[in-house]
Parts: sequence; structure tokens; C-alpha cells
Amino acid sequence: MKRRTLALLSAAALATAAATGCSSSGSAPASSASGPGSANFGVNATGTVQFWARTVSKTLAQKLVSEFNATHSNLKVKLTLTSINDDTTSLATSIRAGDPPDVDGLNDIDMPTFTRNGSFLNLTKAIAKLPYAKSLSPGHLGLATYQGQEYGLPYWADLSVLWYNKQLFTKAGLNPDNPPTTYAQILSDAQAINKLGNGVHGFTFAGDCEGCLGFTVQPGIWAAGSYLTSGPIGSQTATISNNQALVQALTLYRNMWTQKLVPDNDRTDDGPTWGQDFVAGKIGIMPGGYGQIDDLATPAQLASGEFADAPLPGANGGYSTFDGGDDFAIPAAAKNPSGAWEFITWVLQTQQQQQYPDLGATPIRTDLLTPAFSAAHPLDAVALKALGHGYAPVGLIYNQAFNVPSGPWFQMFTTAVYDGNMTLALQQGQSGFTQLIQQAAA
Amino acid sequence: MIVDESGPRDTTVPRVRSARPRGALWRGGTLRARRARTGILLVSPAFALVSVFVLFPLGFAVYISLTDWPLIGSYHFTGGRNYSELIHDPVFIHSVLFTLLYTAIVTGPILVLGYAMAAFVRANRPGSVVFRTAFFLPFIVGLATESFMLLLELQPDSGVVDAVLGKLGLASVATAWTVHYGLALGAICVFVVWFASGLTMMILMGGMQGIPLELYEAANVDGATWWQKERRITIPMLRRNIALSLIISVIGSFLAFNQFFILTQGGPGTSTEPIVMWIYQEAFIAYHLGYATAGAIALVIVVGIISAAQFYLLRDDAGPKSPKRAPGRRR
Amino acid sequence: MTSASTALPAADATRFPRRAGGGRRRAGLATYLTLGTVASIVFVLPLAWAVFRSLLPSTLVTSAPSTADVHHLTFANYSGLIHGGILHPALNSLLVAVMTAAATAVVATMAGYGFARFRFRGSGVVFALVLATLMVPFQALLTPLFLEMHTLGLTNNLIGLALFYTTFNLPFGVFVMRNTFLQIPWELSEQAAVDGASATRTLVSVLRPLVVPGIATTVLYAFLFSWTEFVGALTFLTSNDLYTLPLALLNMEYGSVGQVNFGYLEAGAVIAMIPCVVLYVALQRYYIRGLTSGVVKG
Repeated sequence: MKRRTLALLSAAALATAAATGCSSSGSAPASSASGPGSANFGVNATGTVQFWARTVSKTLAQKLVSEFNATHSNLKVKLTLTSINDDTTSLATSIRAGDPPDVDGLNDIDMPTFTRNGSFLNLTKAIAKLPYAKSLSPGHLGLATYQGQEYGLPYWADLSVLWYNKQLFTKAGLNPDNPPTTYAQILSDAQAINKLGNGVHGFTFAGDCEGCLGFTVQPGIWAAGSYLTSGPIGSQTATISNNQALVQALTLYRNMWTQKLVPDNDRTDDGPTWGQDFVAGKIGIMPGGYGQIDDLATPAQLASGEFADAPLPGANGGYSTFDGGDDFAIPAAAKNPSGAWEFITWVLQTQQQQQYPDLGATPIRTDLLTPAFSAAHPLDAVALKALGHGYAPVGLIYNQAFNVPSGPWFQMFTTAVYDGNMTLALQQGQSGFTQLIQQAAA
Repeated sequence: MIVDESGPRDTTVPRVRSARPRGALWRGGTLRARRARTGILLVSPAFALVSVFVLFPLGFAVYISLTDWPLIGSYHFTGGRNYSELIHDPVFIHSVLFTLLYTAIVTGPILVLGYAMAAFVRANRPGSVVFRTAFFLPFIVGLATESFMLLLELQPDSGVVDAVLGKLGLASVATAWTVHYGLALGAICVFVVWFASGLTMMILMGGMQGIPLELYEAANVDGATWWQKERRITIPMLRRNIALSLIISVIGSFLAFNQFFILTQGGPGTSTEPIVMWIYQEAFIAYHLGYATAGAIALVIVVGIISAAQFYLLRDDAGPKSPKRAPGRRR
Repeated sequence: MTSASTALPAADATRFPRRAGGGRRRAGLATYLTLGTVASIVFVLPLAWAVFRSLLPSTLVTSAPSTADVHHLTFANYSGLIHGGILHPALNSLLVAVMTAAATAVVATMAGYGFARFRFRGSGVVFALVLATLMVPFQALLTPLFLEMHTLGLTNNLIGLALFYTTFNLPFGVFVMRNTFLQIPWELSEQAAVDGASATRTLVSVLRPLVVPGIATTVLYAFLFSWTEFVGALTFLTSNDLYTLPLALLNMEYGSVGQVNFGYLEAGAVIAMIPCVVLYVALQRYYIRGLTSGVVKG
């Protein structure tokens, strides 16, 4: 008898779960009377706003939320930090269970997975009303756009730049105010610094960290106007085989490796210790993140001017940056979308954006690059300048392609840089990327 | 002989029951039925928990494995397509073979080392509690944490492993353990044996302490050697414990994930990717939950078959045993 | 009629073999202690090294070890963790682990007793199903499990997490407890039955002293499992103030680009180790040899 009761209970649970789980993720959007297009959307909202942010943005999120709560009596924001590696899954599961947050700070490269199936509110009309709409980071906004409609907007930027050690530059007889602007210059500067010996190396990269490499190597390719994948989702193509800019980038790293301009244990650095040798003063030039070094270096080091940064150059000039960081999105089933929008627009105000550099982030509005900003935050100003030329690949395959060791990006990198076989690397890359694109489109 | 007076009278044949006690137990039906009810009651909480948290989600998972369930968005029923794709997926096949190889390498040493340690610490000699704690400590700290510690120490030029081996002249100071298949696998296998043998030790030790001393004393009288005593008394009496530790060890190896995720990320390429890591990649990186779940169900079936086989081979025959003939007795 | 001196049973002769002087016994003990100490050091050394690393500042933690490091010992990692708020998650973990251990002990003992001593239809099947739990990689069940638990209101809830952990500790616990009960001779429980005790009474007063080692093992295993478990906690807990220790540590250790703060990691490991070692040592007194000596194994 006990067994029958159990079976009944199970059936009931199954039915309920199936009902919540099977429904397609987007429920009906908030009625247009108070929806994103209306006048009172995000104005004097009340209640609570559930805000989920990634743990990597902890310092920023906590500061913003506590300040908002202190200055707003009508609305309170409750912050939840999602765990590393779990951000997208917990959001997706919460949407499936019908219980999503009101606003989510989602890793921007994960946005395309959600924008195409009605998971998020269409914010196009609301964004158009923002006075600074045209200055929002194009790369971040592009990732939130689907078929011309915007389902999110930038939150904070985690950009890649070319860090260099001014003291080592001086020691090696180089001009510390003249950072390299082409690959050839990077190479020669690194060679000069490497000659200093004494445990010092000219260059460094996280040689076993595919994601780190994607973050720092690609901008040089984009600076030349070239991209590894292109086209709208569903009909993308991979441009690997004939990609000159890619070949040049891989050749640069190959030279760094064969000429021993990098420490030996770069080969096995898969991220946990990336940047520590630079911060210890042992490296001349390091492509890396603005937030990364801002986090690792001591305030004294940052103030002393020992380190400086420059935009990541292309092979023959130009520059770009990887638009990392997060986008804001409001799930379609959010209970307090108006409150969410009020919080979002508050965060995007100048006063809040200007606090970003000290919290390890870069603002997402290009109109904030004023002389005052450059004077106050010289290191972040470089990143902010590059934001206007920034980019991040829009697609469904970023993680599989770039963030796993077995992905085509890392396979291509290791074959070209460690094995020295460029032809094979390009072949593998072309077929690997094409295969992933086809699988995703299926 | 007890005559049962409780049933309807049949004067021709006196009813006889076996010598079982009457009285307080004889309530509500036959003893057997009552004991059966008690038994069911006793196991029902366990069964309830297992049904809710394992059996039902497993059923749901089987359903998911028959669809193209994505991370987010609607899904469609696809029948057995995921499974037929699995069989032709070289990465999946490789992960299965790799997991089998890994299991084959570590299972023996874990059992042997665990047994040796258990034999060493089972008596209450001075120091044995300290030794037991030392041997079990790696298990207590946990595999994930220790994997990170190992990651730090396997780094070339800065980790202690290369520093020590370099000083001893056994390896170059710049040996990059985690990016070469053979080195990574070797290091991980040694690491796992260090971690897991403590648990085997505890399981076997518990069993060893249940073996009556008289058996050993009798054997000693007959002049049995230490090895003969182990082989003829200890090991046979430990069958169930050995079975448990083997099964846990094999299943643990089949479900290995943390150490590979932290130390090699499955690299170089996918050469050190065990099955659960393949599932993780498919589910949480590629967002093919339906396909990943099919792989998971396949894994459950494989592990089930192997465990059933182990149970069968290591089953103990039911029924009371008489004490074994003491070895050495030749008269 | 024998005098006391010749009344020594043969058993005593084996325990204290008459060899040349008592020196042989002392030598045996010395060998045992030496061997044991060496082996223990080999086992514990990596962990001791980690403790050493945990006392180094973050700049030195990831560099090549050198003897000069001894001059730079600091508690900075520990204070960093404590100020970062590690104590609250540690308490959460403790709560969950204690609930899990208690629940596992109770449920597994009942079930082990039921399977070992009682015959009922389907007992083999139910036992196999409970054991089958061991074979299920619960990473594979996370999505269905989350949806189901959400419906039952058990997500984001320490009790729900404890129930989840209890279930996955049942195979081990039930197996151990069933073994324990099978090893106890039938006569003992029968004797109690003759004396009129119900099944519960029998279990509690007569058999308890004999099953305590099994319970100790089950409790220890369940505690360790839930204390170090990570994936389940990650999936089922969404609010930060319910986070358990492994989750909190992970989030404290990781930087913005996947860097790991190894100093924090090592210190976190040391902090996490302490309750487990304490519990382990406390339970040692239940593993005493000879509880069933003198009784023929049935």
C-alpha cells in the first residue's frame, strides 16, 4: 500500500514538474501599459528587485546595490551572486521553473543563447529614450540584439589591453611613454627587455588557458578588420583558412615561444596564476585585462606608475579590445520589470559609471571619456577609449569554440604556436569552427 | 513439541508448530506476516528518500534523454536519436575507454594498500589511532581541495614536485605535468591512490575487528604463519567488506570528475576526459542537455552492470558458517 | 588438578610468546612504531606542506619553494577569509552535515536492520534499488532534480539539501548497517524476543552496543560527504546566506579572470579540515576490537 501511495505522489510531482518544465521559457511579456515602451516604466517603481550578478563582479555589484538601497526609499534591490561556472545554468533553470530574477547581470557572450527565444523583455523602446543611447558600448549592445531588437544593454565592461612595465622599458633603453603599436614593435621591445636577464622576460601569456588567449589575442585580429566567424546566427561562416591577420597573430606568439621571450611555465598556466609574474615586476609586456591587473596589483603599485597600458594593436596598427563583462537583461517573466529598469538606468548614470575604474571595471558609455576622466583614471581611460572599437563574437558557440581545451581555437593555437605547424593549424581551425557552427544551427 | 490450540479444532490430527516462543509476539496475524510488516516499515524511509531523490529524477532524466532538450527554450521528442549518435561519437567513445583504463590502473593498488594499512592498524597497539588518522586524513580533506593543491605543486619551476624531483635528479625542474597525457595520468593515479586507500582501510578495518580472536588463537596453536592466517581466516571473513570497498572504489573511478576538471580540464585535447566530464561539457558548455543526459543514462547502465557483476562474484553464501578448520592442522 | 602456574591456557601463550627475553616484544613494538611513523609522514606530508603554504603571503604561495620562505610566515590568508565572511557558510555547512549525519544514521540503521533481520516480499528488489543510488552520477540528474525539488519547495533550503545528501549516503550506510546486523548472531535477538521485547526494544537495548561501530562509520562518512559536497549545493542553493563552505570558499578563491588565490585555498582547506578530524578522532573509541570475541560468527 505504501508503494502505491508513493507511486501516486511521484505521478503528481511528475505532472507538476512537467507542467513547469515543459512550458517554453518565455511567458507573456508585461502588458504594454506598463511595459518597456510606456512612460512610467522604470519611474518610481516600488517593492523589491531581485538582482542576480556574477561573482566575478562582486565588488562592483555589492557597492552599487548598497548605494542604491541607501538612496532609494521606494525600491529595494536584493543582490544574489551566482556561483562561478553556474551563472547561465542557474538563470536558465530559474526561467524554466518560472521563478527568474527581475534583472540579471549575464556574461555578455552568453546573451545570444537567450535573446532568440523570448526569455528576455524587448527593451528597444526603453533604450531609445535614454539620452546616452548612442554612446552605449556597441559590442555589448550588439550581443544583446536579435533581429534588430534589443533584449538587453551593457552593464559593465571587462576589457583587454596591452599592459607594460615602464621601469623595465626604461632599463632596457626603451621609451616608457612609447608603447608598441604594431606586432613588430611588440616583438622588438620584448627582445630588448628579455636581454635584461635576471629572471626577467619580455612577454608572457597564459599558455594553457584557452579563454585567456581568446580574450587577448583576438583584438589584434579585429584591429585589422578581420574576424574568425561572421554572419547572422543560423548562417554563419568561419574565416580561418585565408585569414592573414590570424596568421600574423599566431606567428607573433610562435616567435615569442621559440625565442624564449616568455617564462617556461607559461606553457602550463591555465589561468589560476595568470598575471602574477607581471605584477611581481618580472615581465615587460603582457596582454591582459584592465580589471585583472587592477585587482592583482597593490594600490601602491598602481599609483606609482610602474605599470601602464595601451590599446591592443593590430599587426600594422589600429587597435581593438575584447568586450568582456556583463549585460543587463530583464527576464520576460520577471515580477518587477519596472523596478528592474529603474535600477538599471540608475547604474548607467554618469555618477555611478565613474565609480567603475576603482572597482576594477570599465564604464560602458563612450561619452564618459572626458579629459577629467582620463586625468583621474589614466589606466582605465585607455580601455574606455578602446571600447568604441571593441567587439565580442555574436554566436551560440563561443564557449565550445573558445573556452574548452578541446575546442578548435585552442587546438589551432597549440598546433601553430607550440608545434609550429601553421598549415595544419589553419586546417583544423577551419573545419573545427565550421563543424561547431553547423551543429549549433541544426 | 508444542500443540497449537488456537485454530479450529480438528480432533484427528493434532496441529504442531515448531518450537517458537508465544506470548507478546503473537499478535495480529502470523508471526511471519507481522515480521514482514515490521520489516517493510523499517525500510520504508530509505525507500521513500531514494524514490523521491533518485528514482523519479532518473525517470525524468530518461525522458530528457529522448529529447533535444536545450538549456533554454522549447524541446522536441527525438526518440533514440541521441543514443545512436552516442555510439558514433568518437569523443564519447574515447572518454569511455579512458575511464576504463583509469579504473583498471587505480583499483588494485587502492585495495591492496588499503588492506595493508588496515592490517597494520586494526589492533589497539600504541600509536595505531594516530596512524589511522594519518592514513585517513587525505580522504577527510576531500578530493577537490587536494586537486587544487596538487595543481599548484605540479607547476613547472614553482611547484614543489618539480623542486624535489629536480633536487633528486629524477626529473627536470621544468617538467610540465598537466599538459602531457602520460605524465598527467600518472600523477593523477598516484594522487587518487593516496586519497582513496584510507577509505578502504576504514571499511576493511571495521570488518577485521569483527572477526573473533579465537580463530586466530586456534591457528596460532597450530603454528600458522601470518600469511596463512590472513589468507585462510581474515580474507574469507572479510568478503562483504572487500566487496563494499571494491564496489565503492570502482564506481568512484567510473564517476571521476573533480580531479580531471581541476588538473587537466580533460586536456591535452580530450585525452584525459572521463565520462562525467564529457557529460558536463555537453550539458553546460554546449548546452545539449538531451544528448548529455543520454550519455549519463548510458553511464548509469554500464556502472550498474559492472556493479551487479561484482556483487554476484563476491556474494557470500547464505546460512550460518561453522568456524573454519584451523590451518596447519594435519592430524 | 593443576596448579596456577600451569593453568595458563594456550591462548595466553600466543599473545605473549615465550621467546628469549621480553626484548623481542619491545623490538616488535619499536619496528611497528617506526614503520607506522614513516608511513604516516608520507601520507600526511602533502597536507602539512599545504598548511605551510597557507601561512605564506600570496606573492610567495605560487613561487618556487625556498628555505627563505620560513621568514615570511603570516596569517593573512586566514584573516582574509574570516573577514571575507567564511564563518557563516561554515556554520551552514555544519548544520547541514549534522542533519545529514543524524538522518542517515537513523534511516540507514532502520533499513539495515529491516533488510538483515526481516523477510518480506520484494526486500531484494528494494535493497538493490537503494544500493543502485551509488551508481548514479547525480551531475546527470541536476536539471530534473532541481525542477522536482523546486516544485516540492525544497530548493534554496538547507533541509532540502540535507535530505538530498542523506539519500546519496544511504547506499553506503545501509550496506554497512546490514552487514553489521548480519554479523550479530541470531541467538541474541531471539533471546530478547523470548523475553518479550518488541522489535524496537530489541534493536535499542540489546543490539545497540554491537552496532555502534557500524553507526560510527555511517555517521562519519555522511558527515564528510556533506561537508565537502559542492555540486549539489551549487545547484540547489540560490541565496548567498545559505551558501555552504565549499561554495563560499570557491567564490572567495576565484578572481575575475579565473585566477585562483592559492593562499586562500590552502587556508580554506585547513579550516575545512578541522571539524572532520575532530569528529574522526571522537568516533575512534567506537572502533574497539573484541566486541564480538568469544562469540562464534553466525
